[in-house]
Amino acid sequence: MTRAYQCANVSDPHPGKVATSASVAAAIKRAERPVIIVGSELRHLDWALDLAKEQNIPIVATAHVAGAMREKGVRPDREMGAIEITNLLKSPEWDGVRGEGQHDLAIFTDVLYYLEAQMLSALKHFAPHIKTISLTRGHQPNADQSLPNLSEKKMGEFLAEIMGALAES
Amino acid sequence: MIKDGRFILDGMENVVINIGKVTTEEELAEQEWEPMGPTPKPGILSLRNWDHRLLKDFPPFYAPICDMCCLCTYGKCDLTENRKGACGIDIAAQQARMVTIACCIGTAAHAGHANHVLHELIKWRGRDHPIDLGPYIDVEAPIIRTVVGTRPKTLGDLEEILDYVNQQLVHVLSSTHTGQEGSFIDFESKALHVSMIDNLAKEVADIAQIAGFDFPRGDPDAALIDFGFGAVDRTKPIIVFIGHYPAVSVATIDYIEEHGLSDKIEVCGICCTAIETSRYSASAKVIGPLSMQLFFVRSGIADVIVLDEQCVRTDLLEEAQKVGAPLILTTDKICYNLPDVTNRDSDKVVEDLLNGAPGVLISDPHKAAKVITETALKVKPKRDALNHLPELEEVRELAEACIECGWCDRACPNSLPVKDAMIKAKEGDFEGLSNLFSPCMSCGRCESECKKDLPIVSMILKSAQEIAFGETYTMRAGRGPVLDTEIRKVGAPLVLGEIPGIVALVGCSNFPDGEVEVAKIAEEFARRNYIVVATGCSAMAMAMYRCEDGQTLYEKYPGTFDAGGVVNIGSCVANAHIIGAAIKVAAIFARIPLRGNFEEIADYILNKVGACGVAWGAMSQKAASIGTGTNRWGLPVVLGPHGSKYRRAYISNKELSEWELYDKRTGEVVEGEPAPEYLAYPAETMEEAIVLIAKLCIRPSDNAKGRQIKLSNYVDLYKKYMETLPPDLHLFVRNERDIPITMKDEIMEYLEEAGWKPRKAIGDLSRLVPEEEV
Repeated sequence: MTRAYQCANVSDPHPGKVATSASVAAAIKRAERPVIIVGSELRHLDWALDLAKEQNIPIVATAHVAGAMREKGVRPDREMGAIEITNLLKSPEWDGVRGEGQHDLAIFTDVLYYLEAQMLSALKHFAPHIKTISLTRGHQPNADQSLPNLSEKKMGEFLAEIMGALAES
Repeated sequence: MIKDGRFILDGMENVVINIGKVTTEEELAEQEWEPMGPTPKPGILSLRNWDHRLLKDFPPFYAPICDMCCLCTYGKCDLTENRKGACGIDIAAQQARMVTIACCIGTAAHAGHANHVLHELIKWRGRDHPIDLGPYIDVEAPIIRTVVGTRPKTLGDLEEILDYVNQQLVHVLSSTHTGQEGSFIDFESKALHVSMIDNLAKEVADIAQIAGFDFPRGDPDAALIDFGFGAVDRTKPIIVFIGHYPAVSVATIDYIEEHGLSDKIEVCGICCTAIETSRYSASAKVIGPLSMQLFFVRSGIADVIVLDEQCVRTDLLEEAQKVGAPLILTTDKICYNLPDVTNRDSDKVVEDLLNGAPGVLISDPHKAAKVITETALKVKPKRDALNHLPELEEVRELAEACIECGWCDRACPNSLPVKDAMIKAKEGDFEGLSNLFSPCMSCGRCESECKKDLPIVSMILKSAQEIAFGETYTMRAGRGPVLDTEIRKVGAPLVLGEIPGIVALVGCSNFPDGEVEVAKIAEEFARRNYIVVATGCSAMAMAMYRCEDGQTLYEKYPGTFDAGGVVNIGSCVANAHIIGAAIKVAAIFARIPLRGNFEEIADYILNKVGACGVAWGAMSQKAASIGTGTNRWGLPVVLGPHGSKYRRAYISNKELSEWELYDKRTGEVVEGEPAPEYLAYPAETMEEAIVLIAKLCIRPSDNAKGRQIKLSNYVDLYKKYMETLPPDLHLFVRNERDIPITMKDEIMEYLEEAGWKPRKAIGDLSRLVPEEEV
């Protein structure tokens, strides 16, 4: 069984699944209104921006990540705090980042591990309408599906495989 | 003299006179100082309406850290997917219940401190010892006045306050038992209530300390204290005090002075005891916040380690033994299974310790003072022969044993790159380990997880020895309350926004990226003419930084409670004075009566006092009650990202809800602005926090000039980090007069794009239902 990256972060009698690149690609394809949430660790920003562009997925910059995106010539769809976007995602009345309706899939990347664990927990308990994927450093049991614990090199490969699987489909 | 009781007069046996209570002259004066407000000594229900009103605008956001309840033998109960526990509780109520329990623990710790210090001081000075806060403070106890409705004049008067504190704490804690409260909103109300009680306990503790230990009475020029590992003279015997309760360190300093030993012994401290000790004696040194605890003990510098209470590592007996330092415990809170030798002859106790007893418990501060001092003098020559840290070559050899499993990185709360540092150290490159010294909080979880039992904390410390032992700083001693005279000066500009806000850096040192961030936050706002105040570990963390010109913040900025000041208020319990300052703005500037008048005061603060708490390293249950109590008074708090593990934030939802407030002048219901937008919010990074703090200081009462100043700071900071204008700027511009002149063209263009329409600025807003509607 895959353990949480921060090993004491075990809270749930029903932990989420360990993701494969194929399962992530399938979930993204299946979703009607996905959203990408990019946090402050900035380890895979280019990948997240590529995914947003290629799949036309709105992107939310948390913390001060919007500045880093602007340096790359990208304007995020929204910029807001991690807890603020989580709060909006759990509200059935919210119209989503582009005003097209509440999202049905949230993809998290590069948020601080322990903060993201709390965001995912909030959505798991209070947002049954939304599925979650964690592509941040290490396994997150609170996500519906999350990366296994991978080295930086393997993680890069994993993310590239997701793009490949999406391109094929 | 007339007394209470039942009397029958001789010859008039059929006449009985009952005298219930005799009113003394002092009591008559007390009755006359201010009319009693509606809620003296409030119970759980008395301020419930206020709490529900706050929670309507700032509803709790829950992020459970555990999906189960394990508090009774029906459990564990799985609360996922709308399941209920065996008692009927759901996940939201369980979160609020855990928050309430945390706030009760925090309140109990401060109330324990207050009970302890008050009773000790009554023994030392007597019940009639006056509470005199000096010629510049008339409103001596703003929280007590507002909540309890009394004005304490002597130490004995504070006992009544603590009776009330203890009673309320029992009631709130009892509500968390299985099968009591079931509503998350009402649990939150109870958390707010007990945390306000926490404010009260802290005020009692610090007023008692100021009066009883003669601590500074709001002195803006309190002494600059030497700070850091390098500040202690290692040729002398060194005593370190760790914790919060200062009676023992005060008694020890007295003993040292009385025996002519002042130039022969070094006294230093870690955590709030360090601040308290330096409030008593400017020659005491401060080592640092609680994040320095394990580093300092491992360094072996201390010859005697003295613990009192709160936030002390629970394995310090084991750690003290490793470095051959006797451990002396001084309160009933921490006993570590050591013998209580309070009644044993002091000389024999010293002998026991010199002969290898690992530690003792002595609950009498004066007896402890003698044992501590005499032991330090005698143990020093023995300990000089000991080597406490590995040599660098040994660090390399230890690193070679590392199997590179990476569990150290995964055990680290901040996921610091310990494994990579170990790999470098194998090659004799210690830079990686050295670089961990600043961001590491010395919690030791990496060591606990290490399959090879490597002393990682010691290896980091040795690798960083030049930084750790070489650098010294200064910290201004905790000055205590804000003077009434200072409030008279800043009251109007604060309420009108011309001083853009008070930024209060409080709480523990579980920082996401080292102490330096809290200093940078302080510097950013001091430079911008906010009033920066600090307490506890944050006040200490701020000292561990030099500005570009080489000065520490306390050297560079004045200690006055005024624009551009950097003010060390004191320890954790001195947090009461920060709320006290906000209350005094209402009392002294707006002339609102305080006595038993909580709701009106809190409503005023929420709408008119632009202040924001920052608990960047909040870790403890005490920090939970400090923050939650601050929220009940209407003051927002920004937490560091670890604060998300408190399970609950208070956040408004500006995209989904409109606020209905009352215009106090007309009584009409009007739409409020999200100022402040949150009451409790964990930010992810320092940069996000800085922008948020500027925004959370905006208040409806700002005049046009004040709003311009605040918006100019908010916009400038947002552009600094996000390289654009804030996306919610239109919400805070009421009309063109609010727009900073130098930014007018840019902002007007933005506002036109956002479809902004000017609106009336209503400065006198309220969340309290007008009397005629009641």
